[in-house]
Amino acid sequence: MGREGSVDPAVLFIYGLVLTLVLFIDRDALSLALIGVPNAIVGFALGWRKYKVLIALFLIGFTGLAINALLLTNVGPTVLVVGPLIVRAGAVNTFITIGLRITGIAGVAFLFVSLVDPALAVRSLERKLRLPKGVCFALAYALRLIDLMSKDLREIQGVRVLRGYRSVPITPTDIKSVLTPLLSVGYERALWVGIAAELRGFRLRKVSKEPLRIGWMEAIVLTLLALQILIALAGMLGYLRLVVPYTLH
Amino acid sequence: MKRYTVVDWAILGLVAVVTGVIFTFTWNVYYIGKALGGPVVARALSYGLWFIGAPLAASLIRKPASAFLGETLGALVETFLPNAGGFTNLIYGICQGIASEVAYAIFGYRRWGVLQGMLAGAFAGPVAVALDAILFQSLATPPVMLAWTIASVISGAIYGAIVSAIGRTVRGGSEK
Repeated sequence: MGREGSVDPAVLFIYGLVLTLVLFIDRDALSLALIGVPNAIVGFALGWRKYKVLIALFLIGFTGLAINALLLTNVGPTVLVVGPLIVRAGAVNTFITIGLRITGIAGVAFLFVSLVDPALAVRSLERKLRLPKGVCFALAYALRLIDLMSKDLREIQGVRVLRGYRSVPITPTDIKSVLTPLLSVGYERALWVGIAAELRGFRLRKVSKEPLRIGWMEAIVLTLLALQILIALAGMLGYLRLVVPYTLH
Repeated sequence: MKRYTVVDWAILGLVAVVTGVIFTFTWNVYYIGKALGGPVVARALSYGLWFIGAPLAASLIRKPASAFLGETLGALVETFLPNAGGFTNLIYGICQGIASEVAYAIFGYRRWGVLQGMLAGAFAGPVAVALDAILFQSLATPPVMLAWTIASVISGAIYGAIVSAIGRTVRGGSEK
């Protein structure tokens, strides 16, 4: 599965999911920094070429996070005074902790989508992680449909413009008038695809199961994952403060 | 328990792609909201759209677990598409899918109408808020939590009702 020298998509899926869960529950700023920053650097570097607009939008969002932190958690000792604005420790801690968490999560996301072909990932999930074949069929069908549905959507938008409506749906009524024809066409198509697959013996198809082979690349990824879980555990249990005396809290 | 046919899986694929693409589009609304008003405003603006997978799948397939699978598969497709949420989409999708499934389970999986769709959307709201409270823990002060919960329940109910009505139109027939 996969090209020579590349990491198995199933292993990257496990890495992404477990690490996101770790970042989700970790409360310690130092361990969040140790996990989040390296993943963000690698993820943003890998994704920059293809997803620079998304990454830029994500980074712009930090202004909003700063506004929220100042409005909702600006308590404690004063850290900075900028004209009439007094920035307190609570706002700084909130900005840093949440900023590091969402940066780490975004970094892992861009790392995954940059390295993994979705079609190969679905096949790997079915054969190696034993995801039910019906679920994988639905996923594979969904991924194949994206281009076709985009074409359908563009046609619906075109017709809406001709009728004098806005092309981008904003209100719930707009969404209804776009979704109804889109789903009607898709439903008919799905019905016949399902019947065709049934007639071709989908139910009897045996999934060729493959063991999860751990090569050098996979071993490195899993070792890095284990290391980051240990850092998060150390952070949450307070051991990192013994090693690095300075913490944000 | 009713068995899933390949047609059901194909319809779930259709729901997954439609919701996955809508979820990914909703990230744009989220980014704009976040830049202007932070995660609090962004969440309030985009909430209901994240919950449509479950009522849409349930109204089209009308079998136990269809709400859960609709929301989860939509979230999984969203995970494969480039956005800053990454695997949090899957975590949210699984939890919201379970909550939405309850709306159909309490009616004994016999009714799949607009009311059930509305409840499915509304039930997903508090779950999403609870997960937000973990993700943005320090920002989740009691007034913010209350505003988030009310916004998510109302928004989820509105969009749940809309997509259930669409599902009924597309599939045809009564709500039983």
